[in-house]
Amino acid sequence: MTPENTPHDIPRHIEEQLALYFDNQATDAVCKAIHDWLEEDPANAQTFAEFGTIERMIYCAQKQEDASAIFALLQEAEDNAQAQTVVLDREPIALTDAQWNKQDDPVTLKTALSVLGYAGLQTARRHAVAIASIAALLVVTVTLGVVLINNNQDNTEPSIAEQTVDDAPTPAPSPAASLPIVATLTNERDAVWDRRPGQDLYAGQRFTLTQGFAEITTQRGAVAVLEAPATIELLSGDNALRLHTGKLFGICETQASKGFLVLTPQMEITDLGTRFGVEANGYSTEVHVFEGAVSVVPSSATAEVEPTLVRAGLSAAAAIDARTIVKTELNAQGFDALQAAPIKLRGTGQGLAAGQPDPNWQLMTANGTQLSQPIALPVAFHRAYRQTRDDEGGLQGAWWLQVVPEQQPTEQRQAVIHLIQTEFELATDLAPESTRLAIACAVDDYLEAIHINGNRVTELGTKIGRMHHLTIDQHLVAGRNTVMFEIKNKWNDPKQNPIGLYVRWHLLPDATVDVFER
Amino acid sequence: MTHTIDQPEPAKPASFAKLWHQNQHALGGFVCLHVPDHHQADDIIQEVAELSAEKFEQYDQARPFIAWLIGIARNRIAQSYREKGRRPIVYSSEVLDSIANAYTTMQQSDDDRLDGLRECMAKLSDRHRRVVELRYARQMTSEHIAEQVGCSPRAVTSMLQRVRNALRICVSRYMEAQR
Repeated sequence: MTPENTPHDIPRHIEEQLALYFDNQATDAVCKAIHDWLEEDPANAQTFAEFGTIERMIYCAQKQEDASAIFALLQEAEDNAQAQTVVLDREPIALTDAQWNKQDDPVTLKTALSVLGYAGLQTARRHAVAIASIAALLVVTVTLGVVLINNNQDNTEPSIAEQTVDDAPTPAPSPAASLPIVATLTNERDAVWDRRPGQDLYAGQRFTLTQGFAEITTQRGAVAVLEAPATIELLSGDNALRLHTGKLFGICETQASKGFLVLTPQMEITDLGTRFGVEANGYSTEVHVFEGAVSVVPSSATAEVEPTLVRAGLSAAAAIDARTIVKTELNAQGFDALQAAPIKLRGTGQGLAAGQPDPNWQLMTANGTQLSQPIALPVAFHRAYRQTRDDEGGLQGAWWLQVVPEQQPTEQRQAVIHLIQTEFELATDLAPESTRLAIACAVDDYLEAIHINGNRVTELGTKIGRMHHLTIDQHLVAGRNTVMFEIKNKWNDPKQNPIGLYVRWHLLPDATVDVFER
Repeated sequence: MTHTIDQPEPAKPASFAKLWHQNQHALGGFVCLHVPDHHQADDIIQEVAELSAEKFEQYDQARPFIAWLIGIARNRIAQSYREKGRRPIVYSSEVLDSIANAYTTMQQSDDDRLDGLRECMAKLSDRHRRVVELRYARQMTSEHIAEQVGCSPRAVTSMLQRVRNALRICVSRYMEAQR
């Protein structure tokens, strides 16, 4: 076998087959050629393995969001004795083996509902919010949901085969094609389309908004608000679209949405974490940056050109066939209706050193019917998550802590549920019904649900090791709001299996506040 | 109500989080060889993560963690092929074993490889870096990348493979130098 670190020569014809294979163009002949090559020499298996690892690492390195960095910090915190143990004076909610293995176990739900009764009453006392009964909560639990950006399923949508794309420059999705959903139609007002889009949007689809406003959210969370008349085309990838003509307001407030690419006939505009407006009329394109910055390249540039950085407070323009970008002071005329500033919330551990209790977050646990007193959460580590933007209000940490009840678990108890709670104020000049809570979070082991003001708004079942992005658009109220994260963790020895929560979030008073609620 | 802070116990066994972090890219590479579509590979890796987290008590820490993960992944990949009614690219158990062994014998952890990859990526030309970004970050097809960079889709496919090979060799040399 070739030593691991000695690069192994590859015949040219195999290189060609591997190129097709990793480009997802493998035919039976390609697969057979590779398999024959693998059988020739065990050293080829080593080379093939190296290719697999490189392919995967490039993919992961290019993905902006990867919770592995958080898990690395967890380990670092444990190694540096920063992980902490909180001793509870009562048992947490314990799950049996069967409950652990069954995500939607009714006993889990019942337990959580009993907890909700408490949380709901707390909220009611504070804010005179009408609290539903347990029975009503059951209905709410079943019927209400949240918009899960990455899990938006609508069974009423026509299949790809039923959608028509007649004059699109790229091929229409064929019945045989298994095209990925690249974006979602998330809001409309008085919208009239040349062809009615479904809620799920696919690469290659092209639509013209002839009247009104529409909001499209890419799979990575970038929001594009369109004002008619506008013609757009969905591009492959999960964070890009083409604006042929019309006006678009882009909002990229989450790390995942950073890099949102808007192509026009004259410009390639790459978001660098910002809010910006684009207007294209077929002959020229203007981009106006309200926050952050965008990178702009003229579409007609033939050689490698350095992108032009356009920061907040500036506009940039390119005419047809332009090879350069002209920057001017911000000219925001025409975008007033489309822009609104988000309200940022404190993330976990934000602004605190390791070991400091966070006054904004508490651990709540329960013995089935009652929550214990809130326990301040000490920040287990405080290091900037390497892919977190510092301009979101400071460095952010996370909690990874070991929770040990004084009453030891029985053998039947395989998992526990912990409840971590915080509150935030929703300014009274915002309309709660149109405000959205955008959350990016990573959890160890699973985030079972999020409770907003006593309402279990979603059955998440999020997975360990991943950064999850979701948007909640229900149950927010004016004034103080309570948010509780319901976390399920494998029991075994709690000292070796800490729970963890990392949250980065913000309120979107809705780019659509003016547009869609007026 | 009591609220105390304890020091972690010394010399405890490696945690799942640590082992997973050290081996996830190697596991991803193994899965990726059998399921080149990254989204499908993501799903399988996630399922392996869940299963291995649940069954972590059964893991014998005397064995390489990656070997244990690959054992779980092999079953899941085979199940995926059965569900899709497709023939696996590697159908010889001997070849499959060779590939699995290759991962087990890899010396360095994912962290070392990632450091090497970062250094090597910095050595790519602007054009190659752009193609990599369009392919992996924006997940564009070769056809769409070709539109962006002004060449044929076939040229993009070949260019990406040249980049993979260059990075493979560069990372290998980087790790050799680290020894």
